[in-house]
Amino acid sequence: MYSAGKAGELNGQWEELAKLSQEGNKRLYSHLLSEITPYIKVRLVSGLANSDWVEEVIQDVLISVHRSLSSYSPDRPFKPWLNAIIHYRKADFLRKHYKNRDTNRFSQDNAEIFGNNVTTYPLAGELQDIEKAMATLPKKQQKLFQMMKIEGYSAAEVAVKMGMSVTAVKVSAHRASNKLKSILAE
Amino acid sequence: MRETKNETKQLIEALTEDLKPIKCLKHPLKRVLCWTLFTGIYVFLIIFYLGLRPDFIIKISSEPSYIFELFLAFSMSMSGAISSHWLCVPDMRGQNWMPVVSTTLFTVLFGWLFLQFSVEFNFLEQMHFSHCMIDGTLFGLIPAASIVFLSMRGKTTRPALMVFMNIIAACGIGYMGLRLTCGCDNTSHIVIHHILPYILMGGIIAALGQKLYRW
Repeated sequence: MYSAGKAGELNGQWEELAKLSQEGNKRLYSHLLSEITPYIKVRLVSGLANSDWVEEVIQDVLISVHRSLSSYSPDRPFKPWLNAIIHYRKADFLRKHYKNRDTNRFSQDNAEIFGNNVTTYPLAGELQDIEKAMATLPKKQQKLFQMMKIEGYSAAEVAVKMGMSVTAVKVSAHRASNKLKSILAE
Repeated sequence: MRETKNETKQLIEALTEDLKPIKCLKHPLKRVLCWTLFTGIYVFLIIFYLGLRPDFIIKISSEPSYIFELFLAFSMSMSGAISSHWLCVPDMRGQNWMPVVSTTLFTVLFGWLFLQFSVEFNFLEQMHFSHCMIDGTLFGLIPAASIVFLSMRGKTTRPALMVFMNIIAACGIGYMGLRLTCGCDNTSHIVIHHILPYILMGGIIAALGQKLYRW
C-alpha cells in the first residue's frame, strides 16, 4: 500500500498514478481524480458558457474516466487519452443541450400551448414542472431518486432495496439530479 | 456553485470506493489478429461448404480486374477492422489517420462498382430472389456480430465512426467471400444481390450502433 507521501511524490505523474490505479490502489486513484479535476476544468472553461455546466461536465468526465480506465495503456501518455474523453463528454453535453432546447421551443402566439404551459398558480406550476421532469427519467432512476431525495433513504438503504451497489446508486442519483436540473433550467 | 463542487468531491469518493483491480484492454493489434483469425477460419469454412466458383482458376490467372477487386475488398475489410479496434481506445493511441485509409478504400471500391453499374444498368431484370442473398448473410453476419462484440469491449469517443468502420470490416469480408463463390459477374447482380443486403445490414448496425457504443 502506498502512503500519502508516495501520492505526493507522484504529483503530476498521471501515467504512473493511472497504472497504479488500474492495480486497485484506491488512495492513488483518489489522488489522480483530484489532480485531474482542475485540468479538466481548465480545458472546459473556454468552451462552455455557464459555470454550472462546467461542473456538470467535469463530473461526467470523472465518471467516464472511471468507466474507461481499462482502455488506458500505461505505455502511452495520459493527457491525450484524457483530452479525448473531455472532448467527447463536452460535445455530448452540448449536443443534448441544444437538442432539448430546440424541442422545447414554441411560439407564444399559440394559445393552446401557452395555456397549458404557463400556469396561473406559481406553486402548482412548479410542482407540475417537477413532476413532468421526473417523468422523463427512466423508471428505475425515478424510483431511486424519489427514495433518496424525497423520502430520505440513505444510499446504502436504497442499494439494498434495489439490489444495486452503493456507488451505482450514488452515480445514478447524481445523474438524475443533473438531468432534472438541466430540464428545469430551460 | 459550492454545492456542485461538493458534489464533485463526493463523486470522487464514490468512484474511489468503487475501484477494483482492472484488467487492461489488450493491444488493438492483438485484438485485430484474433478477429482476423476467427473470421478467416469462418469464411474459409463457408467457402468450403459453398464451393469456389467454377471458373475461379481462369479468373485468377487471366483477369487482373478480378484480382484487383478481391484485393480491394480484403484491404478495405482489414483496414476497417484495424480502425475499429484502434477506435476502442478513446484517443485511438494517437493514430487518428487510420479511418481515412478505410474510407478511401471504401470509396474506391464503390466508385469502381458504380462506374461498372452505370454502364451495364439493368436493374429491373435483376430484381428477383437469389441464393447470393442468403450466402451474403452467411458471409457477413458472424464477422459483423463478432466485430461489434469486440468493439463494445472498448470505449470509443466516436460512435458514428466506429459503426462505419464495423460496417466496412464486415461488408468487405462478406463481399470478398461472395466474389469467390458466386460465378455471376454481372454488375447489376453484384450490386443488387451482393451489395444491397450489406447496405441493409449496415443500416441495422447504424441504427443500433449509437446505442451500443454509448457509455
